[in-house]
Amino acid sequence: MSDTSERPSVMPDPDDQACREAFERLSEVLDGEAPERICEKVEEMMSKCASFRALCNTLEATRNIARDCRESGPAFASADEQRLEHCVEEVRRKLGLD
Amino acid sequence: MGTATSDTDILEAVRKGEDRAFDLFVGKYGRRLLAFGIRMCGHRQDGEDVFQETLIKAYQGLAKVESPKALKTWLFRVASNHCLMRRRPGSRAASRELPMDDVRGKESNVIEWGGDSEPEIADWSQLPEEILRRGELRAALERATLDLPSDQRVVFVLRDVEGLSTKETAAVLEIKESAVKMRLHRARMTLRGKLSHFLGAIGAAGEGMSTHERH
Repeated sequence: MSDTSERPSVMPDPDDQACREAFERLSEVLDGEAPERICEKVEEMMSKCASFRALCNTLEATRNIARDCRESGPAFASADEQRLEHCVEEVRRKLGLD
Repeated sequence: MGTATSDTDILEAVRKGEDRAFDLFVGKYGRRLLAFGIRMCGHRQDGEDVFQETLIKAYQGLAKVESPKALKTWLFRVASNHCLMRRRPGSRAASRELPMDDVRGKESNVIEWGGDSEPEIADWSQLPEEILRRGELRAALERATLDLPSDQRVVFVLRDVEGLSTKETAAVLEIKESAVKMRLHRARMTLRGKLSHFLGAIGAAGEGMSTHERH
């Protein structure tokens, strides 16, 4: 990232609508939901700017870590089998199913 | 608690008044709805309360669900509504809410382009897999999720954690797909920045990060 020649030319100019749109719709590109013209603009920006490339990469990594959370369960509170069964029994009782 | 039960099986059992209907329903969706409630509320007891309210409301309304295809989105709609109601002002977790302007103002995790100083971004995605898959990184992400505005948090949890599609998420929340995309992007950007801070703080910077995002 020390190659400063890559940096300034692609930092989206507030007046450049296409760049701003690419930045604002980056997640759509990652998710494969963006129009072709946006994808092309993002690719162009990535090829020219290390920082923008890093932003794309870390945004994708953030999404991937969230996906890992799906498998591991809530990190800050146990949602273990015992708690689940306790809750279900409570509901069963309230519904008159026991 | 098997997962092979189809939504068609569940709805048929409910309509026929079969005793196993509740178990089929809980077996397929129980764990997922409990995890969703805890994530949304940020507190185990609140999450369990929401989970129970959701189960009761959902089970009582299951017979009205016309198509098995609609079951999942309907369930998450019921759960989301309970979670969001619980987090309104006065609820235990509401104090965690931060307006987006405050988030922007206090933290450098939302990148503003243009201006005199060009942001330089640390590419921590290149860190070794064993760092990126650590439980503490997932925990940091989940904690950071709680600081998101609730409209972004629910979209992020539904899309990226629960794995619902944009269309399904829009159906759950009864909003436009474009709104889902916008909220998701804002949430991811905020969380991305917070993970950068976290990785810098725990010293991962020395293992691969190299730029201004260290803190």
